[in-house]
Amino acid sequence: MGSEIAPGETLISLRGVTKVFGEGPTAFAALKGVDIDIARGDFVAVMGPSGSGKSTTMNILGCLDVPTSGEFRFRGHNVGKLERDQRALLRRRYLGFVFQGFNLLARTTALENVELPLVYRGEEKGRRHQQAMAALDKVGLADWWDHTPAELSGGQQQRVAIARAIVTHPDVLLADEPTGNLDSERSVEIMELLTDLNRTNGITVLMVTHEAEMAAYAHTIIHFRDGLVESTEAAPDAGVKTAPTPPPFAHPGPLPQTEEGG
Amino acid sequence: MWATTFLLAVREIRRHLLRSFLTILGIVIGVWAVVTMVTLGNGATAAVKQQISSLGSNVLQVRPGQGFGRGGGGPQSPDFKIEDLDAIRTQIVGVVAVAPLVQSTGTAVYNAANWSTTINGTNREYFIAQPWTFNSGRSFTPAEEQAGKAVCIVGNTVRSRLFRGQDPVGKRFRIKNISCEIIGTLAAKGQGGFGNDQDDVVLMPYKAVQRRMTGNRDVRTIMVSVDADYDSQAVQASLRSLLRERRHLTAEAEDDFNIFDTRQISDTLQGTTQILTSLLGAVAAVSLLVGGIGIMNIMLVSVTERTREIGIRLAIGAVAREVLMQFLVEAVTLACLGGLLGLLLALVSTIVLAPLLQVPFIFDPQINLLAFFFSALIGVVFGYFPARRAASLNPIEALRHE
Repeated sequence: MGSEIAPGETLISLRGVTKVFGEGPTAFAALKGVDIDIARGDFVAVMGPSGSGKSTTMNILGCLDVPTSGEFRFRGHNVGKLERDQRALLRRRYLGFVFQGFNLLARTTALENVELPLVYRGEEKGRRHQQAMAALDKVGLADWWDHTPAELSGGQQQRVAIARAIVTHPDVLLADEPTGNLDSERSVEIMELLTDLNRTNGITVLMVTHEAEMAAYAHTIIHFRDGLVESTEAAPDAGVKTAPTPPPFAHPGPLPQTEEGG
Repeated sequence: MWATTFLLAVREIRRHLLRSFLTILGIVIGVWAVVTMVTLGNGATAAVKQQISSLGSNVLQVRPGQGFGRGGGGPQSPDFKIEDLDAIRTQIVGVVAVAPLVQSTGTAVYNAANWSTTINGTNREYFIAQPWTFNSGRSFTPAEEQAGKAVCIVGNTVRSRLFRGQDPVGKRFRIKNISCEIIGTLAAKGQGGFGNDQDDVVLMPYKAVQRRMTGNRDVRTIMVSVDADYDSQAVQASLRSLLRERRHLTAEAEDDFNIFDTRQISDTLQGTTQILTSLLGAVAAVSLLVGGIGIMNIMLVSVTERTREIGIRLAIGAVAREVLMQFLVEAVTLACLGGLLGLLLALVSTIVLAPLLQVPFIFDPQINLLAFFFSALIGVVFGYFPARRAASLNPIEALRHE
């Protein structure tokens, strides 16, 4: 996969994806054949009631889980066929995660939290600091680098989490109800930050939410119901905004290899 | 990556100082016990060796009586006579020196000081059979020996008790009411194999002791120094048949004397202490294993406690091996810390205990290194299972973990 995917071209595609949990009579089909295409540079909101399959879809899109059947292609890789560690390497290279519960490491400074993905990339200390500080600066928390999560407000914690997700300049940012634990004022800040990352950095954003106000920031809204895509709509003001050409740090190139070549 | 992993482990350990300490306590005690036991055991072995060698390394001690503790003398097993020594000297091949030992006890007096001590009557050859060195002065002359002159060689304890710092050579003192000229002093030898003070002794020509103290011509002990080139077993055998003949024992009669081979005793005693050392070491090693289980236990708890953290790391893109290494390094670091602490305690306790148990302190780098690497190995073995569990967590479930 040497070819870089241009903005507007398909980055992610799901074809007939199903996911069944359990076996036999207790088996539960969370996804019953989902087809989704997501273009590079899109800002997608995934909505739907609980149990509709949106979280399962996000786990699959985040390469954390694999479909029971069907095909999930990401950057040309058939992710369903990849080993656990290969999917970890995909996440390390191309994906950033933001969670509802922030999921920062406790008793660890903001800077160290943001540095974490760089540690696994094997960046040396100087570069790690520099890149992590740049990411913290991007979310407006450069002055708070030495604070631990306990010393930060919820909104600040979520911004640190976003800094951690973007420090590796990922292709895709997966946000699972990023504003679920925040008041509306902080939520707006977070949404503006995500919008900015989408516009100026060309990061494709996939966001699960059940708040319509938050979904309104997206360009595309996908509704789930009973394990199927109910509807896909373009947000009123949107369509895919012409995202800028990805900056040079958007990594082209093949699936990274582990050090041993695994 | 390695440095980062190690720093991470150290930080995690520092965060839970008390828990980490309790975790490694088993290893600490294990290493402590093993190293202390083995070090003291080695000291005891060395002490036995040294004490035996102070009896003379290749010396046969002949005493009247049957078996070990049984005292000599009496009609059944009479003491030896000085003629027996001449016979041994002339008839047995491979003998370097033959020395009599005629013992008495008495009080030595010099000016106002007095000291009760052992008086050994012997000859010049005694100094070949026994590893004594002279601090000052000289041994007996043949003339003094022949005449049974009242000349004395004093041991270090007697010298220091009666004469303090001065060199008594040439002075006269009274011993058992005999005026005796001091012709030599002996260097200190220290404690003997049975806790006795070997330096608490006055040596005189045997004739002087026989005539003026014991009042008979008996010789209680004969020391026979065997030439190192000769087989001491063979010398022992010919010595035995010679003495049986001289003591008119019939073929059926048991020996009425016995021969101690100091080398044989030395080998036996050393073997015994070595076996004891290994036994104690093995028992202590079991506590090391128990310590390993303690580490596994806490690491499992830690993995459960940090499930969410593991989930975050996995989501961010850590591969299984990296998570495994993180926990493994932590376990090994803990185990190594325990090992070091144990070594430190062992060092302190052996330095303190060695003099109390009257064994020399011998630092053995080999057992220290071995114990340390063994504790590291225990960290690897018992840390692997919890680390494996951490690495195989499902990231989705781990992230959901409360």
